[in-house]
Amino acid sequence: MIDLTKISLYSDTNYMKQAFSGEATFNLPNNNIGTVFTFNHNLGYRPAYSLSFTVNDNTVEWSGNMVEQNVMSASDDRLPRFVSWVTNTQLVVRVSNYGNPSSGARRLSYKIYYDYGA
Amino acid sequence: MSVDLTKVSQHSDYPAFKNNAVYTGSLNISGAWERGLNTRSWNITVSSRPDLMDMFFIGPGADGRPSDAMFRSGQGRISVPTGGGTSLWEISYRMTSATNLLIYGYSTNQSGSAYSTTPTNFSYRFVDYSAQ
Repeated sequence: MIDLTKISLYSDTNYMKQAFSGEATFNLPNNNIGTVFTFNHNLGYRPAYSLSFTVNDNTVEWSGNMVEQNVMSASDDRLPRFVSWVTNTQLVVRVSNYGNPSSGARRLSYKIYYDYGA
Repeated sequence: MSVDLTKVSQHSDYPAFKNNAVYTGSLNISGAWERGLNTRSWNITVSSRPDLMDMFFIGPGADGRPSDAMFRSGQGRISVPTGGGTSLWEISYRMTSATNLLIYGYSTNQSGSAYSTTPTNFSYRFVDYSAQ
């Protein structure tokens, strides 16, 4: 007998159905307070989303911010970081780089899903 | 030609990641925050031990985020206004709480004894994606 709860398309659960995806490539400047990227989705609710960003160089994507030293010897120790949020119409990403000497080409990628609107 | 049913994605012998459960609710930050690391924690009961869980929050804005926007765990903070101090700096300084599995905040390096927070509500939405 088949256990229906283990079927991948079991109809009693919801799934991460992708609505939109995209990426932005940009040049991360040194000592930048906040560069804002806005992506429109116009779904009418706050959808689930995932986001990754090449924080410290352009080779490794991080789905969250890199671990930062708790005790910093200088402000230059701070890594580039990002915050993000969704509204009923937009995904907004704010990238900051407070005095970190790291700069150059960066990429952020996102996916927005139909599900889990809040 | 025979079909290898074990390679069909709907084959039921293999657990799959899916949205098994959603937990929502609201929490409140209040009380005095002293200089240094301050932690607020809450217990949220889940029906089974998750091996993959996603967390979203909605709360007072910080970093330019409007208060009605939703953000992922680790990608935003909640603004927690403070008051009750004796100096203008203590009264006007707004602490922020970073949100992860635990909600935590910090008061940076300024001197002072304790800061009374304005009670701050925020909402959470946890999704259990565990393979089952």
